[in-house]
Amino acid sequence: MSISEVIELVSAFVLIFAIMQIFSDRLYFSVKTYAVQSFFLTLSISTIAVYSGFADLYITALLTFIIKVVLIPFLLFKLIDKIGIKREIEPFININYSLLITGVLVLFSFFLTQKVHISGEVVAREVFPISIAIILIGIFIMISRKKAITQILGFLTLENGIMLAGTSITKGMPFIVEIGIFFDVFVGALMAGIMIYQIRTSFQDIDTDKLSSLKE
Amino acid sequence: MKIILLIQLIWAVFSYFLPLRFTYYLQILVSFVNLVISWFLIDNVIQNSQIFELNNLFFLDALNGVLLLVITGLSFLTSIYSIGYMKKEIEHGLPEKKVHEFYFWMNAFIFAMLLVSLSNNFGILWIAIEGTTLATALLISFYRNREAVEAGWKYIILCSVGIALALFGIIILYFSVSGKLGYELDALNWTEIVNIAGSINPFLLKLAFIFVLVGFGTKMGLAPLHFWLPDAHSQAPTPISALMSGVLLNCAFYSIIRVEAILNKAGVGDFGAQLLVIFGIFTVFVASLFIIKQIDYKRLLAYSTMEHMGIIAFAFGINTKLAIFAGIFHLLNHAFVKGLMFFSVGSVLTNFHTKNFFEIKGLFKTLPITAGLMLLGVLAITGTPPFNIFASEFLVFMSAFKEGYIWQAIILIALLILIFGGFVYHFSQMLMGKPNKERKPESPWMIIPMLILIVICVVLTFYIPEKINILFKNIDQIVR
Repeated sequence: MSISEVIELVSAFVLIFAIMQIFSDRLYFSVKTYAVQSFFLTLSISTIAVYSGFADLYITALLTFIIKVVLIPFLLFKLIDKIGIKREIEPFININYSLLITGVLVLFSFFLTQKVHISGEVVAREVFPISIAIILIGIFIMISRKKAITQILGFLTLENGIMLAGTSITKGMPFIVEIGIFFDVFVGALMAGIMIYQIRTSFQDIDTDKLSSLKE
Repeated sequence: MKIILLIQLIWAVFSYFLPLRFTYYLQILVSFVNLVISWFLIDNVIQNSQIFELNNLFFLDALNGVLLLVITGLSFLTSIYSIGYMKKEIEHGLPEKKVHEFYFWMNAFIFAMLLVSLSNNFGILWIAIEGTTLATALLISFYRNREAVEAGWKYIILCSVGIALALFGIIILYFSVSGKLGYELDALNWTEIVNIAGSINPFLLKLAFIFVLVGFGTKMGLAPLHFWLPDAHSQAPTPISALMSGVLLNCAFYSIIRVEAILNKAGVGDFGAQLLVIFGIFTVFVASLFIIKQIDYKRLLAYSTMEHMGIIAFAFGINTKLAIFAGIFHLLNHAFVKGLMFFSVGSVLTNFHTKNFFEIKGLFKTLPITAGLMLLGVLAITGTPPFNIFASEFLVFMSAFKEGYIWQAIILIALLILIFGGFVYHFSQMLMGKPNKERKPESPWMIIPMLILIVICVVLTFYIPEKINILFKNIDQIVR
């Protein structure tokens, strides 16, 4: 297996775990899925690091591991315990239809990128459609789910997709920029967590369709 | 430039710990120092056209010079205003701890905006814009009631997603130049990218622009991506609303313009310009619908901000020398006038504690000075002469007619007349009539910044200071 095939395989796993988010209705399970998904992202980044020999990418992989596999899931677990809501009962779109739509999204992103001719040196060509599929799935999760935590997970999935694209079509963003992005995502997740806690205390629930006092 | 950022960062931390009576006045001092420094920097830019610092990571030219002036100017006035606002809020039962929180986040917010305006590097620019989202999220849910929490949640989710898409656009841009510039930090520098703009693959450039437009457009409040905007502006403490609509949205738009400038230099600028025209007109249209039926005065002002952002986008979409001059002039004008409007409704809010037009009557009797300034502000923001918005809108339409955007300009003018009607109707409800409360004392801390702003508004109509005029004129070469 050539190294670009390895990268493609690993990123396919990231996609699979993004799809698994769709059919989970337990919040714990969703967070675990996110952790595994980020773990495969870490693998993908480290493979690219081996391939290209960029020292920066090793650090990026390490940071991904620390922040996305350990810290963010840990914080989310704590949050779920604290607010005491463990299940996503009725999503806006039920799980069967969601899976169907997800399939369409994946096909669509392959179709979309079929015509895009990326010139120049690309590490693994197939990663581009995969990462677009992950981005679309992330957006879909945010639209179709009610619980605030699942919406954050959708955002984090979207971010993983962008990260995957960033490390596969380019050889990673410059190091300072990577650090900044990690910082922002981490603080963002933290703040969204605080916000969920506030929602819980003022609405007694974290269903976002109950957030409806501001309407025209 | 390092100094200004450093001062702001250190002050942000200190403002959380210092006793309030120091924070109030030191805030004014710090923001005034920043204003003075930025004036000297602009002086330097006029002589040297571009100045760099710290390995070219930071730079200043005419375009971000104007932005820097808007940021430091408006944050100086907001610092004065905040004293009056926060004193009233404390009287009304806000704990002092919250006021510390307010100052800390406000300074962090200003720091992030300064970073946006000074950075040359798209990566750092992205980080700074996301930083503004994070700094304002907890300010929007500041009052912790149901509406505020809801607005905060919408804001953080929608803007984070938008900005993530912008990051994707920046990655595509980075990829498209990496063949020439390599995978270095410098490859994300705007000044480097512009130099090789001609050799970038135009397809990738357009793709990057779409993502950047959608991403930062969310933050800028372009319809149909604006849903967070009215909620956030109506729920945030009023000084923050003023900063958000006067400065933050401009920062987001500035980022779009930097990418559009690359498109222009690469010869595919028309593509981006067309998109800006379409989004601009649509935004004004949506804003005008909601302005007419609005009953909450802070939301109304938020929609009015959208309207003006739409006009600025339209002006940059026309993409001629005159239009760009008009656009940047409008940006400056709108920032000051919107500051005035938010300041005036803020003092109404601290006295009446309702945001509904129809529950407030006879402001001329209860808050006479504020009411007078508010009336002038309403006239200014709807584009009546002799205020500056009239001058810049006139220039925008003149350039539109010159370039053959005739029916687009006519639609816009019709919408502006509609908005004028909406404004006058709603605000006259509040200003006129029989007062339902007795006369209240008006804090001079709140009156002074409004007076300064109204003077600026009238002066800018007739006279643009020579230095600012030079900046405006130099922007054309940068953008086109």
